[in-house]
Amino acid sequence: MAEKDLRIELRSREILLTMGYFGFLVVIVFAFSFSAGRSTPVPSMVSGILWVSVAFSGTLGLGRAFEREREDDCLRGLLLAPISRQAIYLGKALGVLFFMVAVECIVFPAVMFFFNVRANSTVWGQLVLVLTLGTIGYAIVGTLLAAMLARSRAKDVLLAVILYPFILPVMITGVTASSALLDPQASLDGYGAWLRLLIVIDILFGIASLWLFEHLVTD
Amino acid sequence: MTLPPKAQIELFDSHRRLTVNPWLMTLSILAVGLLMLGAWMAFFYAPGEKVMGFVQKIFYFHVPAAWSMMLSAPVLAVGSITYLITRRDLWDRIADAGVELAILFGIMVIISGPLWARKAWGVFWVWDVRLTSTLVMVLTLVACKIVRSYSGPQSKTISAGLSILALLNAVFVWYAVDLWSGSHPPKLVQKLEPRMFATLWVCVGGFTLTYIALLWSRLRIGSLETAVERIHMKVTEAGLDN
Amino acid sequence: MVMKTFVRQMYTRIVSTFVLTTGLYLFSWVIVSYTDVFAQGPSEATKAAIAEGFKPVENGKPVTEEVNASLLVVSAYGMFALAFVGYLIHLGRQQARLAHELVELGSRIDAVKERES
Repeated sequence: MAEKDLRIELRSREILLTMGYFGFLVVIVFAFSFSAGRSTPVPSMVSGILWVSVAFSGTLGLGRAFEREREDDCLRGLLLAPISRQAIYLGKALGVLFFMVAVECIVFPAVMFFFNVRANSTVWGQLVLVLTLGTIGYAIVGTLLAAMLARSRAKDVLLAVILYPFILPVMITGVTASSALLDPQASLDGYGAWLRLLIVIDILFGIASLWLFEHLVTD
Repeated sequence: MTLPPKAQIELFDSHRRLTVNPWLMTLSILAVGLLMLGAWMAFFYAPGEKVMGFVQKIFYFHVPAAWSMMLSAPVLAVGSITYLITRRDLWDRIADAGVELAILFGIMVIISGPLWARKAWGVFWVWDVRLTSTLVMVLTLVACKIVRSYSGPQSKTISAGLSILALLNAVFVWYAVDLWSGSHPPKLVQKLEPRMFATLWVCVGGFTLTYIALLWSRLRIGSLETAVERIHMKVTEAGLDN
Repeated sequence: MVMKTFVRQMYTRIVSTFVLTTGLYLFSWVIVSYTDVFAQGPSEATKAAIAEGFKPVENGKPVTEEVNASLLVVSAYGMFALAFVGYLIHLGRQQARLAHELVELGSRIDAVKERES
């Protein structure tokens, strides 16, 4: 599943380009509004901007994720095919995850560049870890919601309405963990607990989504 | 041109639902009476609180409202999960009623909380465990209702799934914010004076009865709605629409 | 062909079961290692992160005394009453709409009956 999506996408590149460019633009807008004329960044602000940019550009990708299936009623064909629902879901989620990681490859350096963040290599590594875990959670929840709404009217608006409340736990943990990492004064005590909470959220949402997807996406 | 006899029976049935149910009436009167008594007790029976003063009176309705909101959690969880498994309309109506009441009481909690906090803590809003997870739960459930009314034939399954996710979400937010900070009065109930305690219990009782009465009426309306829809369909089938 | 489908089905079933059990196992592991974090309560670092401007009243912050308590209490209870009444009105309107619809449907049925008899 993921493979098929990736193959089509790599051929057309439309999502990847729009998402990446949109994420970059969001970062630029934030940079203009918050850091103009200031040289040292506020850690909590930087991590907030990082996550908001990721969340915004992710919405674009999610909206498109099931679009191709809907256009020629492929989803029904997929559901009838002899593969389990869970495999379909996992494939879709992996596809979304891949796109978001690709976009983060643009957004993350852009944030670090425009906000003059300096840190050592351990902090970089841990930041990437936090970002990856958060993205996994986002992809899990987002794919489920996008799949639910795949066939309703006004899909894009509805997705925007329901997505943000549902990714709040991921956002809270992600933002706090990464701002703890970016803050040079803060100790890293709280960070481990946040990371574990993020893992718990990912796993629990994952299990719930697997179960729900099976029951929700019918006929 | 004849109407199927079953539709006529159903029509009769639905008319019966519009009549006053004596049990529901008794329950509602009891609930309102208990709420009135609770409000009276809060102002004239319970002594004033030493530290917080008069503003603490909000407490007697704030806590029961939160309790009622908590009551919705099992209602909507059981309703949604059973609906997803069995696909029977009854469970969907139960879940929907749970969502609606959770929103109602959640809004009460969210508005009365800051009014109290303004005096007790000096600020309207603190990013505290209960405040945040209540807010998030109300937000997600409102999203649920919006989706329900706009997403066509699949709306029932979608809203069932969303409300389960909403509960899960509230739990996560609870833990996340618990790690982050904590400032809500945790064990306030234990050091209450007996008269305050009595008042609180009367209010909790009143809110619980109110909750049951509202749930009951909402379910009655829900089943009536389904019946009307079905009769509509039958009438159209029989070619009576003009 | 049938065999191939069957094998693929079994394969996906096994994979998904594996994912689920691994998830549950990981989850229980994290919960177990997590309980001691909660047992300790919030760490010092997180405790210090209480919102700015917040002070419990026990520590004596005179600022809060300026607020008019009665106004707050009255508006809170007014809000409670409004919410209850509002919801009841909402329910009543819904019921009235349904009743109206029922009566209309009933009259249609009666009209047909009369025409037929």
